Amino acid sequence: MIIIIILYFLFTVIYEWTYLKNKNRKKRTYWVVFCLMGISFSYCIVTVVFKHMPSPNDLIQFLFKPLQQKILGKVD
Amino acid sequence: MKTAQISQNQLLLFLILYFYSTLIGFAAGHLIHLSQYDSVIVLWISGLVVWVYAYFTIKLANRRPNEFFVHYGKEIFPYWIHILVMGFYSLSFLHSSAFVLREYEDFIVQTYLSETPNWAVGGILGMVVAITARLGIKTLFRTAQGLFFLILIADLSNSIFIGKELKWDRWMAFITNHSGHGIFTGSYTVIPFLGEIFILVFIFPYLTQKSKTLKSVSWAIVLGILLITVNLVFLLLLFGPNLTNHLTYPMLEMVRYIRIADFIENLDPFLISIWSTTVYLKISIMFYLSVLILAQIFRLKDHRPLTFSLAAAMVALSLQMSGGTAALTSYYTKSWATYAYFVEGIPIVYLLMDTLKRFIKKRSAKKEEIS
Amino acid sequence: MGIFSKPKKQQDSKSANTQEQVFLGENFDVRMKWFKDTFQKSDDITFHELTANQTRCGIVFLQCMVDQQLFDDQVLKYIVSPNFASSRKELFHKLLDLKSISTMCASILTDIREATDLVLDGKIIIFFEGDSRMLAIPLTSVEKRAVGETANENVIRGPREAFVEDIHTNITMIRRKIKSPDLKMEQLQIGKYTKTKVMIGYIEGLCKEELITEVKQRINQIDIDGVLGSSYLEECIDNFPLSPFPQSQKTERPDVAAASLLEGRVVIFVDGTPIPLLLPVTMYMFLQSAEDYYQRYFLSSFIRLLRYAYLVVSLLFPSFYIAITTFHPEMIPTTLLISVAASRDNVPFPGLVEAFIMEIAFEGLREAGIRTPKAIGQAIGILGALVIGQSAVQAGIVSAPMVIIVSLTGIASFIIPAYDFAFTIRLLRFPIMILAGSFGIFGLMIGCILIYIHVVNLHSFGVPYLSPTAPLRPNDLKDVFIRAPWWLMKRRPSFVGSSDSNRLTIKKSISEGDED
Repeated sequence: MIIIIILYFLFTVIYEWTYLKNKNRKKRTYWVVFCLMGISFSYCIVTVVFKHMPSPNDLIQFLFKPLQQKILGKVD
Repeated sequence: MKTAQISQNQLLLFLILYFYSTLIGFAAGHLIHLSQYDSVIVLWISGLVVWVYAYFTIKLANRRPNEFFVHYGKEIFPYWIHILVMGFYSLSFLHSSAFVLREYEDFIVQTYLSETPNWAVGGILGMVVAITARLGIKTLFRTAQGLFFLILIADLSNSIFIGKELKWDRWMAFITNHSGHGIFTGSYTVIPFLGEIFILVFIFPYLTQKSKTLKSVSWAIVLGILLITVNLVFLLLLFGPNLTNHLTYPMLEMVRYIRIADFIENLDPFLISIWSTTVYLKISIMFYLSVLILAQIFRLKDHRPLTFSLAAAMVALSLQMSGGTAALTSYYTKSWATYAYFVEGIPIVYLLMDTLKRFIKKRSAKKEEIS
Repeated sequence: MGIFSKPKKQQDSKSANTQEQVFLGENFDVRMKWFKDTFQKSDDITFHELTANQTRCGIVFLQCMVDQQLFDDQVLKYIVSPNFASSRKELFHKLLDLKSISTMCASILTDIREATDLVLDGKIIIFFEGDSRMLAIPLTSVEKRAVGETANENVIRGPREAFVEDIHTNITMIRRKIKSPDLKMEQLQIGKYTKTKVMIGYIEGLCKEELITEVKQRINQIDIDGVLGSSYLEECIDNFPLSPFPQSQKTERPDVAAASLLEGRVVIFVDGTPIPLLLPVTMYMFLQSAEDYYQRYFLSSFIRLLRYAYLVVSLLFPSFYIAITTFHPEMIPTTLLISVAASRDNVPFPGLVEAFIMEIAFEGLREAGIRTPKAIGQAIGILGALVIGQSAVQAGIVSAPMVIIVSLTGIASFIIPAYDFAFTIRLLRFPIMILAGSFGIFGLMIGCILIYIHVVNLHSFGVPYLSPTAPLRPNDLKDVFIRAPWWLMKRRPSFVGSSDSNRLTIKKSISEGDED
């Protein structure tokens, strides 16, 4: 699984690099693009390694579930 | 940047598909569970509310028709708050796309590809979404335009063939069975669904003939709801509220009822794959907006270099999102609606703030004039 | 006027090629030496020296490309005869100033490099001692193929003639169909070595200005050794070089070329190719055949719908079969399912592999059928039908349904009129088959969406590939899925041409007369 992710990101890095190079983008663009790519990459790896991480759903549920219950009344 | 690219016609067709996609596929069971035979009333009430909501969002967008929300928002709210809100939006859209993707993955894996892992389905669809998003919004809307007729034909033929299976004696219940609470809870969950129309705020600069937007949106709401209503009524007539409520994917079961002259036993993979394209469109637009907003926050020239890396994150998010369908459903039924109100409410806050600021400005200008 | 227009055009092409000019003055020997040096070791060039009116006179030409008999009769005889001119001065005056020789389009030039080019183009160059001007006489005679019948795009009711290799013949055929001064033919020269003539034809007023300049600009950008066919240019001027879809239409029929000119499109003729390029193109144009416009519209519309159906078959049928047999057997009726399952019972391969073997075998057969000499062609047919069809089924290597599927797909792909487009569809079948083999109908859908978004994104010279359906132009739909009768297609298709002005009006009296 991790190998697939690494391969995918390797492909993406090469692809975006040539793309940005062809378009003569600023250095800042490179930074932004590859930083975001790094974040995304680490997130992917993390999800594979730690299977049971709290997800954004849990957060939303934590915040909004009581509210919705109050508004709608208890729905089974 | 060339902006005006989407014709009103394209917007109309796209929005119909946009409403139709997930509401029919994933939410129909829950809606019928909540409001039984009142679902039709619920739909039209929600439509009305959403129309009012759309009116205000378009009003906000029309204030600065050729600028992107991400760019002009900082004139309304302080810079940092705005950037935070936009970051939240980007994540929220990413989350929505991942959520729909997850629903779809579960659906496909459960019904057809029981031996295929979730990640394979998610990965491959994610790739397609990434490519679509990379090609840009013009492609997306043109795709919708072409697909619309296909989907319309599929849905209509579905309705025609299913017609003879229906139990028409149930129709009385549409008039007799009502429950105020059911209508309220039903509307409460359906409004944010249709309320996803607020994506207009973000894509407004891309539209041509902006003055006609409200008209297209109104038509889209009417036609979209009409389409959904027909399907819901058929569901109710076919299965009744209780059975529908217990089926995970009632639409699928309905499609499976079709038999054409004893030759084609089962059309469902075919019709479902056509319906899938609408889901794909929905994921794509959500994902595209997420990427677009992110690119605009960082003031990049275009969104393209971000698509592939964010697509990976989206797929990962969809897989990591929840342990199983049960948790997903619980999230969806218990808290999603309120969260969506929160997300969709933000543009209204912006509109209020903007109006307030203008009002103050006008007043101070007047004062200056007087003094 | 022909006399003046010709050299002017050649100057245009010169400037496009940016070759520096060489002037060698009035000396005879210097120029003769230049020619002899340039054409060193080229024994097919004739250098001839003679004296006319006490003036040394050199003649250079390509032996096999010139009608010598005519040259002797029409030109040489007069120059040499003492009656033609009494003095050198008169000779020059008559020949070079007045051009009183009995050949058309003789041109006068001083640039010796241009003269060498003209020799290679089949002209006869005459130059004289004492005058820097040279005379180029076009007495080119080249063997060309006679205009024959169409080989690939056959029709039942339409004209039969087809383009040939010679560019002038081809243009004549177009001119004979469109007799309007608005039909323009602009000449360019491409190829460092081949110096191939390329003609860009369009109708002024119907064709968008930007399109013409864009086409010219893209062709002029090409710096290539040689152009031996229109496909050389085609690949260089494509918007999306990586796309498998053809982005220009090819035809061998003058009527198709003329019709596309009338729609406001551009036709690019290349010398030596019987197949000009038509630009821009939409996907639907590949599914139209010339026949559609010669038959009655009911028939044409039916055939066109049939083509769309077979397009889908050609693209998806094997994948559909794979998806159903491996993932969704519940879709087909039980009796059919049983017979399919029974025939697949002793096949050792999974459906995907089976389909791949058969498809590749079929593609091989098809290719072999085109390339083999006619005498062996029959043997190939027998081999294909017997060995691959029957024996493979009997031996239990492939199942009978698969043979049916593959042959039906094969037939379907030949129904598409445009060969290159049909080939694209055939190629795209393979990735979809893999997707269908691994994900069932879901994979099929993914494949379709991928192709669809690619096609939606394509455009050929600014015209979206799927117009007029995406973006939608309802008025232009009359000639897409069906072929509306001529009296309904009153306006030109607006997505290519410059204006959607009227192209047809039927006077009231005539239509009333019809009704009586």
